[in-house]
Amino acid sequence: MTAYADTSYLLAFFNPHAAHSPSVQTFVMRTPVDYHWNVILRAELRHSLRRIPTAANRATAWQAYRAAEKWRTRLVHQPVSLQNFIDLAEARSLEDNGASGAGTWDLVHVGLALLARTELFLTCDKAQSVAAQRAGLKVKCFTA
Amino acid sequence: MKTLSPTKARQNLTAVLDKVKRGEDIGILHNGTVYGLRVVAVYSQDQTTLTPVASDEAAPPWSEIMAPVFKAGRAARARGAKPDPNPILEERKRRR
Repeated sequence: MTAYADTSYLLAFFNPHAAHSPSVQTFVMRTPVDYHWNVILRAELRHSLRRIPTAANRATAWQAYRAAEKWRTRLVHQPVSLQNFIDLAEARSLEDNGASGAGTWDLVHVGLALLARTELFLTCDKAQSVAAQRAGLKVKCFTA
Repeated sequence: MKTLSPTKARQNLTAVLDKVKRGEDIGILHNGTVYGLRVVAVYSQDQTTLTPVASDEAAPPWSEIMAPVFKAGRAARARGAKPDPNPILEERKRRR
Protein backbone atom coordinates (compact mmCIF):
# COMPACT_ATOMS: atom_id res chain seq x y z
CA MET A 1 0.00 0.00 0.00
CA THR A 2 1.23 3.51 -0.78
CA ALA A 3 0.01 6.23 1.55
CA TYR A 4 0.29 9.99 1.65
CA ALA A 5 1.47 10.84 5.14
CA ASP A 6 1.32 14.47 6.12
CA THR A 7 4.15 15.97 8.13
CA SER A 8 2.38 15.62 11.49
CA TYR A 9 2.44 11.85 10.92
CA LEU A 10 5.98 11.74 9.52
CA LEU A 11 7.28 13.63 12.53
CA ALA A 12 5.57 11.24 14.96
CA PHE A 13 6.97 8.43 12.85
CA PHE A 14 10.62 9.48 13.07
CA ASN A 15 10.57 11.04 16.55
CA PRO A 16 10.95 8.14 19.00
CA HIS A 17 8.97 9.86 21.74
CA ALA A 18 6.47 12.37 20.38
CA ALA A 19 2.88 12.67 21.54
CA HIS A 20 1.54 10.53 18.67
CA SER A 21 4.53 8.21 18.31
CA PRO A 22 3.08 5.13 20.07
CA SER A 23 -0.03 4.96 17.88
CA VAL A 24 1.92 5.72 14.70
CA GLN A 25 4.69 3.24 15.48
CA THR A 26 2.20 0.49 16.33
CA PHE A 27 0.52 1.09 12.97
CA VAL A 28 3.89 1.02 11.16
CA MET A 29 4.89 -2.26 12.77
CA ARG A 30 1.60 -3.90 11.77
CA THR A 31 1.09 -2.38 8.32
CA PRO A 32 3.75 -2.31 5.60
CA VAL A 33 3.30 1.08 3.95
CA ASP A 34 5.23 2.98 1.30
CA TYR A 35 5.01 6.76 1.44
CA HIS A 36 4.58 9.36 -1.27
CA TRP A 37 7.48 11.76 -0.96
CA ASN A 38 7.81 15.23 -2.44
CA VAL A 39 9.80 18.44 -2.00
CA ILE A 40 7.08 20.05 0.12
CA LEU A 41 6.93 17.17 2.59
CA ARG A 42 10.70 17.11 2.66
CA ALA A 43 11.09 20.79 3.50
CA GLU A 44 8.35 20.69 6.11
CA LEU A 45 9.66 17.53 7.74
CA ARG A 46 13.27 18.70 7.88
CA HIS A 47 12.22 21.99 9.47
CA SER A 48 10.10 20.09 12.00
CA LEU A 49 12.87 17.63 12.81
CA ARG A 50 15.09 20.60 13.69
CA ARG A 51 12.43 21.75 16.14
CA ILE A 52 12.20 18.52 18.15
CA PRO A 53 12.95 19.85 21.64
CA THR A 54 14.65 16.76 23.15
CA ALA A 55 18.20 16.49 21.79
CA ALA A 56 18.42 12.69 21.96
CA ASN A 57 15.07 12.27 20.19
CA ARG A 58 16.11 14.81 17.58
CA ALA A 59 19.36 12.95 16.87
CA THR A 60 17.62 9.57 16.58
CA ALA A 61 14.92 11.00 14.33
CA TRP A 62 17.47 12.62 12.00
CA GLN A 63 19.49 9.42 11.78
CA ALA A 64 16.46 7.36 10.77
CA TYR A 65 15.18 10.01 8.36
CA ARG A 66 18.56 10.33 6.65
CA ALA A 67 18.82 6.57 6.25
CA ALA A 68 15.29 6.35 4.84
CA GLU A 69 16.05 9.11 2.35
CA LYS A 70 19.48 7.79 1.46
CA TRP A 71 18.15 4.39 0.60
CA ARG A 72 14.84 5.68 -0.73
CA THR A 73 13.41 2.97 1.45
CA ARG A 74 9.64 3.16 1.48
CA LEU A 75 9.70 6.66 -0.05
CA VAL A 76 8.02 6.93 -3.45
CA HIS A 77 9.14 10.08 -5.20
CA GLN A 78 6.30 12.35 -6.35
CA PRO A 79 7.44 15.09 -8.73
CA VAL A 80 5.79 18.42 -7.89
CA SER A 81 6.11 21.67 -9.81
CA LEU A 82 5.35 25.16 -8.57
CA GLN A 83 2.40 25.27 -10.97
CA ASN A 84 1.02 22.04 -9.43
CA PHE A 85 1.35 23.64 -6.05
CA ILE A 86 -0.52 26.81 -6.99
CA ASP A 87 -3.26 24.98 -8.89
CA LEU A 88 -3.81 22.51 -6.06
CA ALA A 89 -4.04 25.21 -3.41
CA GLU A 90 -6.69 27.06 -5.40
CA ALA A 91 -8.67 24.00 -6.46
CA ARG A 92 -8.80 22.50 -2.98
CA SER A 93 -9.71 25.83 -1.40
CA LEU A 94 -12.59 26.22 -3.84
CA GLU A 95 -13.82 22.70 -3.07
CA ASP A 96 -13.40 23.04 0.68
CA ASN A 97 -14.90 26.52 0.82
CA GLY A 98 -13.79 26.97 4.43
CA ALA A 99 -15.79 23.99 5.71
CA SER A 100 -12.98 21.86 7.17
CA GLY A 101 -11.16 24.59 9.09
CA ALA A 102 -7.97 23.58 7.29
CA GLY A 103 -5.44 26.20 6.18
CA THR A 104 -3.98 26.71 2.71
CA TRP A 105 -0.94 24.57 3.39
CA ASP A 106 -3.17 21.72 4.68
CA LEU A 107 -5.25 21.83 1.52
CA VAL A 108 -2.11 21.65 -0.58
CA HIS A 109 -1.25 18.35 1.12
CA VAL A 110 -4.75 17.05 0.37
CA GLY A 111 -4.30 18.14 -3.24
CA LEU A 112 -0.93 16.43 -3.48
CA ALA A 113 -2.43 13.23 -2.07
CA LEU A 114 -5.17 13.35 -4.72
CA LEU A 115 -2.57 14.01 -7.40
CA ALA A 116 -0.61 10.97 -6.23
CA ARG A 117 -3.81 8.87 -6.31
CA THR A 118 -2.94 7.69 -2.85
CA GLU A 119 -4.68 4.73 -1.27
CA LEU A 120 -4.62 6.19 2.22
CA PHE A 121 -4.06 9.57 3.84
CA LEU A 122 -2.25 9.45 7.18
CA THR A 123 -2.25 12.31 9.65
CA CYS A 124 -2.22 13.20 13.34
CA ASP A 125 -4.21 16.36 12.67
CA LYS A 126 -8.01 16.33 12.98
CA ALA A 127 -8.65 19.37 10.77
CA GLN A 128 -6.35 17.93 8.13
CA SER A 129 -8.18 14.59 8.29
CA VAL A 130 -11.56 16.34 7.85
CA ALA A 131 -10.24 18.19 4.79
CA ALA A 132 -8.89 14.93 3.33
CA GLN A 133 -12.16 13.08 3.96
CA ARG A 134 -14.14 15.88 2.36
CA ALA A 135 -11.94 15.47 -0.71
CA GLY A 136 -12.92 11.78 -0.90
CA LEU A 137 -9.71 10.29 0.47
CA LYS A 138 -9.59 7.29 2.76
CA VAL A 139 -8.10 8.66 5.98
CA LYS A 140 -6.48 7.34 9.12
CA CYS A 141 -6.10 9.96 11.85
CA PHE A 142 -3.89 9.11 14.81
CA THR A 143 -4.56 10.31 18.33
CA ALA A 144 -2.06 11.00 21.12
CA MET B 1 33.37 38.85 -25.63
CA LYS B 2 36.53 36.84 -25.99
CA THR B 3 36.04 33.83 -28.28
CA LEU B 4 37.99 30.60 -28.44
CA SER B 5 38.01 27.73 -30.89
CA PRO B 6 36.68 24.41 -29.55
CA THR B 7 40.23 23.04 -29.65
CA LYS B 8 41.65 25.95 -27.63
CA ALA B 9 38.75 25.75 -25.16
CA ARG B 10 39.21 22.01 -24.70
CA GLN B 11 42.96 22.39 -24.13
CA ASN B 12 42.42 24.96 -21.35
CA LEU B 13 38.96 24.03 -20.17
CA THR B 14 39.57 24.29 -16.42
CA ALA B 15 41.25 27.68 -16.74
CA VAL B 16 38.50 28.89 -19.09
CA LEU B 17 35.76 27.83 -16.65
CA ASP B 18 37.60 29.52 -13.78
CA LYS B 19 37.67 32.75 -15.79
CA VAL B 20 33.94 32.44 -16.54
CA LYS B 21 33.30 31.95 -12.85
CA ARG B 22 35.25 35.14 -12.13
CA GLY B 23 32.92 36.96 -14.50
CA GLU B 24 34.86 37.02 -17.79
CA ASP B 25 32.74 36.98 -20.94
CA ILE B 26 33.98 34.02 -22.98
CA GLY B 27 32.42 32.20 -25.90
CA ILE B 28 33.33 29.29 -28.16
CA LEU B 29 33.19 29.87 -31.90
CA HIS B 30 32.05 26.85 -33.85
CA ASN B 31 30.93 26.87 -37.52
CA GLY B 32 30.19 30.59 -37.39
CA THR B 33 28.12 30.47 -34.19
CA VAL B 34 29.32 31.76 -30.83
CA TYR B 35 28.26 29.67 -27.84
CA GLY B 36 28.51 31.76 -24.69
CA LEU B 37 29.76 30.29 -21.42
CA ARG B 38 28.01 31.38 -18.27
CA VAL B 39 27.47 30.21 -14.73
CA VAL B 40 23.90 29.06 -14.10
CA ALA B 41 22.03 28.12 -10.94
CA VAL B 42 20.90 24.54 -11.25
CA TYR B 43 17.66 23.35 -9.71
CA SER B 44 17.28 19.61 -9.82
CA GLN B 45 14.33 18.02 -8.09
CA ASP B 46 16.27 14.79 -7.80
CA GLN B 47 19.17 16.50 -6.08
CA THR B 48 16.99 18.39 -3.65
CA THR B 49 14.64 15.55 -2.93
CA LEU B 50 16.73 12.48 -2.66
CA THR B 51 20.26 11.65 -1.72
CA PRO B 52 21.82 9.33 -4.34
CA VAL B 53 21.86 5.71 -3.38
CA ALA B 54 25.23 3.98 -3.15
CA SER B 55 24.61 1.38 -5.82
CA ASP B 56 27.24 -1.11 -4.68
CA GLU B 57 25.68 -1.45 -1.23
CA ALA B 58 22.51 -3.29 -0.42
CA ALA B 59 19.79 -1.20 1.19
CA PRO B 60 19.19 -2.17 4.80
CA PRO B 61 15.71 -3.45 5.62
CA TRP B 62 13.19 -0.96 6.91
CA SER B 63 13.12 -2.66 10.30
CA GLU B 64 16.86 -2.01 10.63
CA ILE B 65 16.48 1.69 9.74
CA MET B 66 13.67 2.16 12.23
CA ALA B 67 15.05 -0.05 15.03
CA PRO B 68 16.86 2.81 16.87
CA VAL B 69 13.64 4.87 16.78
CA PHE B 70 11.51 2.09 18.23
CA LYS B 71 14.17 1.25 20.82
CA ALA B 72 14.56 4.87 21.96
CA GLY B 73 10.77 5.24 22.10
CA ARG B 74 10.39 2.19 24.31
CA ALA B 75 13.20 3.38 26.60
CA ALA B 76 11.71 6.88 26.91
CA ARG B 77 8.27 5.49 27.76
CA ALA B 78 9.80 3.12 30.32
CA ARG B 79 11.55 6.10 31.97
CA GLY B 80 8.25 7.95 32.02
CA ALA B 81 9.74 10.80 29.98
CA LYS B 82 7.36 13.51 28.81
CA PRO B 83 6.65 13.13 25.06
CA ASP B 84 7.82 15.89 22.73
CA PRO B 85 5.07 18.11 21.37
CA ASN B 86 4.45 17.93 17.62
CA PRO B 87 5.73 21.27 16.24
CA ILE B 88 3.71 20.83 13.06
CA LEU B 89 0.42 20.59 14.96
CA GLU B 90 1.35 23.61 17.07
CA GLU B 91 2.30 25.58 13.95
CA ARG B 92 -0.98 24.70 12.25
CA LYS B 93 -3.00 25.69 15.31
CA ARG B 94 -1.36 29.12 15.27
CA ARG B 95 -1.96 29.50 11.54
CA ARG B 96 -5.63 28.54 11.43
